[in-house]
Amino acid sequence: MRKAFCIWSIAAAMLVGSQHVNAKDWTSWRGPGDKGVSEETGLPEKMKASEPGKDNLVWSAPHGCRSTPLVHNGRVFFNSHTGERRDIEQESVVCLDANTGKTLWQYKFSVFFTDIVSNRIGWTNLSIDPTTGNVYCHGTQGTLLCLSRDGKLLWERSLSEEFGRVSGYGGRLSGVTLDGDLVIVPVNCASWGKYGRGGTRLIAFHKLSGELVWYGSSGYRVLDSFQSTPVVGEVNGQRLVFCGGGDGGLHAFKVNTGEKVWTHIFCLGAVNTNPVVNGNLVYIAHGDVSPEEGNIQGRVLCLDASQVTDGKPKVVWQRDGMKIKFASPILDKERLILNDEDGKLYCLNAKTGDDIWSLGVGGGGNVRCSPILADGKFYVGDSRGRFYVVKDDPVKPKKLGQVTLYSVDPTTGERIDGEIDGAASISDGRVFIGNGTTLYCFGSATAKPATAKPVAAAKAPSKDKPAYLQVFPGEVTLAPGASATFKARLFDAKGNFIKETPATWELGSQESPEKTVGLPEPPVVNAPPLKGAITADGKLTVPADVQGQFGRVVAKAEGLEGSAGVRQVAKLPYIQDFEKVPDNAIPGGWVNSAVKFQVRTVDGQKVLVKTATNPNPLAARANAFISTPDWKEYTIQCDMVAKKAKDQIGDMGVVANRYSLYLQGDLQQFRLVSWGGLLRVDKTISYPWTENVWYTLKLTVTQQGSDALVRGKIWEKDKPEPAEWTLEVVDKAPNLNGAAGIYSRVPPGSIEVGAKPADTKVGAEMFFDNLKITPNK
Amino acid sequence: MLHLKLRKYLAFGLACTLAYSATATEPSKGDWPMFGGRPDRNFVNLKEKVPATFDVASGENVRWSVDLGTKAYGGPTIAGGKVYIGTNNQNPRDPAIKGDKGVMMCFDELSGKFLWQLVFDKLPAGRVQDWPEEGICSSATVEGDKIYFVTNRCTVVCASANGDPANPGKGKILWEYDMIGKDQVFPHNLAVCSPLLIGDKVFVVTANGVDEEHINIPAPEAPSFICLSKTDGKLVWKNNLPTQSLVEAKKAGGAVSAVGLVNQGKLAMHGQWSNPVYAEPNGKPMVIFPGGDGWIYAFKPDSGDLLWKFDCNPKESFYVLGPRATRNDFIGTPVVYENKLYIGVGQDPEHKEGVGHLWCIDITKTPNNADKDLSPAAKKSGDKIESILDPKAPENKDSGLVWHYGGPTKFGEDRIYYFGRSMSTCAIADGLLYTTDLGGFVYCIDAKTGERYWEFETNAAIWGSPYVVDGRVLLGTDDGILFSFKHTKEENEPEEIEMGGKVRATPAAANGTLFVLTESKTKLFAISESK
Repeated sequence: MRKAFCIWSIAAAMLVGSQHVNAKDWTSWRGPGDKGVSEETGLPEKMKASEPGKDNLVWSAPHGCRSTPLVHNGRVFFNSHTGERRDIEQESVVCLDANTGKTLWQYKFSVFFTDIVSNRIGWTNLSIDPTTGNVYCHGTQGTLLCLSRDGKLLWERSLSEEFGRVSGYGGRLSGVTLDGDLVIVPVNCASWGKYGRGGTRLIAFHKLSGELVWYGSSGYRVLDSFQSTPVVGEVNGQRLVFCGGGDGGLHAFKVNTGEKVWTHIFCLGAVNTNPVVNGNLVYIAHGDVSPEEGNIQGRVLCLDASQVTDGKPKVVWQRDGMKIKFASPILDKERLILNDEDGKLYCLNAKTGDDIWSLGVGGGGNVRCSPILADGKFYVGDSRGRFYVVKDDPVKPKKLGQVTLYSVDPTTGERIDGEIDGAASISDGRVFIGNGTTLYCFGSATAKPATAKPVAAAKAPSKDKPAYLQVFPGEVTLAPGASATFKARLFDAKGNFIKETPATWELGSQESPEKTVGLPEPPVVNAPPLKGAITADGKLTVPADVQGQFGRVVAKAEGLEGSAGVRQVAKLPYIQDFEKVPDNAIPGGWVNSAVKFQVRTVDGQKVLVKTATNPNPLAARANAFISTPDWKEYTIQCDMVAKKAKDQIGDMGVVANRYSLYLQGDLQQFRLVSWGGLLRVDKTISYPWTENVWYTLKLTVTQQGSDALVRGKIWEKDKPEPAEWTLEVVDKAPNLNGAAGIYSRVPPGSIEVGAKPADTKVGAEMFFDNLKITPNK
Repeated sequence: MLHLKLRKYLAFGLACTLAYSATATEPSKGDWPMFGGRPDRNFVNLKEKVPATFDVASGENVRWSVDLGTKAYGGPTIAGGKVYIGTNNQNPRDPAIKGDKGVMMCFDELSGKFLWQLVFDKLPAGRVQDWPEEGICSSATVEGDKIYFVTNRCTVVCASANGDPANPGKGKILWEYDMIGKDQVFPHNLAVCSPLLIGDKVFVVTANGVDEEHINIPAPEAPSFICLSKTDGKLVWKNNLPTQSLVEAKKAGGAVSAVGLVNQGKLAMHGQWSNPVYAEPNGKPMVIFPGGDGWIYAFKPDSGDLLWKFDCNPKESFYVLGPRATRNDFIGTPVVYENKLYIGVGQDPEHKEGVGHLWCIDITKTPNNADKDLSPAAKKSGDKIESILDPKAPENKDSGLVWHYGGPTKFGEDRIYYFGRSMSTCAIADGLLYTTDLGGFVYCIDAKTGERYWEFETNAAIWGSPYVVDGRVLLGTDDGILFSFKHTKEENEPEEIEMGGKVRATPAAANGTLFVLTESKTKLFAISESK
């Protein structure tokens, strides 16, 4: 974690003073109240993408905007792709002057460890904290950023490297949600310990410090990457966060603690839409296949979150057959308005689910734009770049206007289909909408901004009986000899904060992986307790001489027990020959490694094995992350050998600073790459190599001016190390830091699959040994 | 019902007595026994009369309908008194079989009664090889008492048309050829081919493609096209031309750039999901395969020797994921009509719309170059290369190009291209070609000249193909509308028939009945005049 500052006060965190939010701001992607509705008036009916000042076009700016532009205090913020050449393509947060469209700043950051291609990055929606103006971004590569309104980095976390978050390749990933002191991000991840196996999870961080507060885990098997963003609501005095998952469910967690309250599985694929919340009622939709037998796809659902029996909320109504695959709904008083994958708007009675009207608006299929309602008009786009204005009506809405917003090919200047994937936003009488290459601001002269509204004051602490003890931070990663101070915090049964409490502190062992519906029973891990010392006031110091371990700190108070995860990573130099790691375990401190890797004794020698029993790419291919992402100026070296199965061998290598150096089995190549989906960095040579021969790979990254000099070499283990580097790249969009890791990919075709899982033959495994990570100087 | 029974009797009798004619331009009887009806894959049926009006909501002229699983894409085939349709297992006919499966179902043609099914487990690699809940997308090819189809497990199956008499409700596999196990094929997302049967052989596109990273093709040695013996499922020949450049690049040593090969038009881009077609121009038999590299390849059916190939992308085109790409592969199937081949290029609809091309290729030409290349010529100036798409250009005198339609429009025009990426197979009748693009446009084009007579915007995504029957052109869209145009070069307003679900497969007519498949609600409708 890179922290520009770390001021932390529980008191300040829990009590937010009475404030006003400027209602003209659009700080979360579904607008004020997360319902897709604006109260502004005088908005344009007709528009053209002509020239500024004409046809209601205020300005256009040459930034692609696949996400929804947010507006705060005269500035427009959005996530975007950037870079005119492949080798410098990146993701970025862009800030424009809302009045002129002039670029005020652009914060660029690298893309890595993802198969997502250029034109699909920058799809996650930002969130802005109205009180501080801070901007939060969950990037395609798993970077979680907190930027000031002036574009200064306040803190960042790397969810892929720290928590084993995976992106998939479709590009549909969730944005972040702010509530109280928390920034909440939904992910599919496999980190360590309880969360070591794959799962759909919410991770909450403190919005000012970036420290992890809690994990909320759905407990269901991951089916796909997903795009639902959490929405917070108050149900029976209980503040809950609702989110659709990559497991086909809608989940409710207590927002302050991450305790799961209920799950409703209603889909066999990803849930991409946001929930909308109205009192006790929660609405959500999907456009995939529902779990029940039948011949209809898509479901719109209304649940009563106040009536939960046996962990299941009451279904108020359910409508099947509307394929709401991508777009999030509008809730306008007693009406729910949804946009299906073909651009048809449905208006339903929110109380009963009955039809009110429907209207075909967009076309061309794969319509992903969420509609918004403002000034009696719906604004919605489609995947051909057409942007529509539809007049709302209780009975018969009608199209008022449409404009085709073509993208412009950056190399040829030719028009291409515009692809409107984000939603429109409304602020100060203007309508903001982006396509693949351009952001547009439309507005008429008659607009009247809405007036400011008071923000609900934060609740006073609860006086109820304590029911939950939270240890904060909820998880820490420490270097040898480092310390962290924990606090014990009490919450009532509804998850309301009561107080910080003194506690007795002790050290615990890591937990076994949690049970996951749809996955085999998890192994029971009997690990020793965390090594280290903890004081009576919760200050933990881990040993200086332990090169990696997992464990917990456990707090007890008022008859309750809570714990926080402790991951101790190695310090440089790190030498790992696996000899002290028990068979079937992984080395202490490594994430995204459980199940996918395991230590085994082979011919009397301990090696790290890339397991090869599951051909699903989520298991067959992995980076085992060894260190924290702030490591820099180091060299990683490791011996490795590939086994052959069904005439196939896999890929194996090492990772440093978000560059991967590896041997590719099927193409018999030696490669140095970054960002696999684009191959932004790609230095590849032919390198005939074979199974059962041990190779040594060495990768080093060092800063050279403002660039990164990335160098890799390879030799047969039993031969002397060559003096020259085999592959060398000077990266102009450099990754100057990043976690050390081991990369491996089992070819799915090498695993011979039997009729039952027990019959499956082990595929092409790879063994690793003699890992050495050393500082460059 | 009498006439239907008579027809059934006649149909069955004919099936038993008439030898299958590979070169027929019309079905020899009222059946529709394969994707495209005949080996020329032309979705045209000039024999059948089908109801001009029907209403699936009221049941008007709906003889029967059956509920399928949630998804069914392949479209029905009808032969020997039975209807075959691939789907998933969400409407299970066997309560003992639960969960996601690929299912091939067989129904009685007259009553819609379920007869039997074959059920296949999903591949464990997940969506990269066998997309969840997609079921079986292959349309069965029927010959006599056997059917041939490709499963979600990337196997070619020959099954008994009569199911398994010993196990009512269940099908009986006669042989199964495993393209993964035998040929190391890496099916990208799903194997979907509707097999082509010619003589004693079965021809299949394997679906070999990229891995989950979407750049590398993990099994370039594996075939894209295979020929099996119809009787025992043994491999006769196989061919990997759409991925061979990667094998050669590997052999040559040096770094291999899959991206570079794709952009040179030498390597499959994504998956391979089209179907082979058969032709016999001037008595010369050829089986023609669409490759994932955007090339059409013609082979001698017996030996697999290459006869000619044709690049369906302009040389200057490039491939990236998304609308910007100008290089395409094939979702639609090539059609042979009067010694010419017609195909529109396209992509996975997830990649959205983009510029497309529609080609008419003379298949009687014998290429006189060593490469057997019939593609249009290209001119080079400096680093730039540009295809010459005018068939009359002197450079194209040896090319197979008859005409080309599509490409970008000139700046200032309302549309940005004349023809977009297409998932449709052309339907050609009386010299009129009908096709569509994913963006929702329907085109009527002079099959001889490429001149466009009319176009119509449906404002909905189109996955299926036009079907010419009984003087009409039927076309289903994702909005759940079956458009019915007059079969004429005059521009005409179509009738719109609400189907209650997306119409993604192409309708089929057989024995006086029109079969229309809808998705969500996923149903197969048998439509015929009520008595």
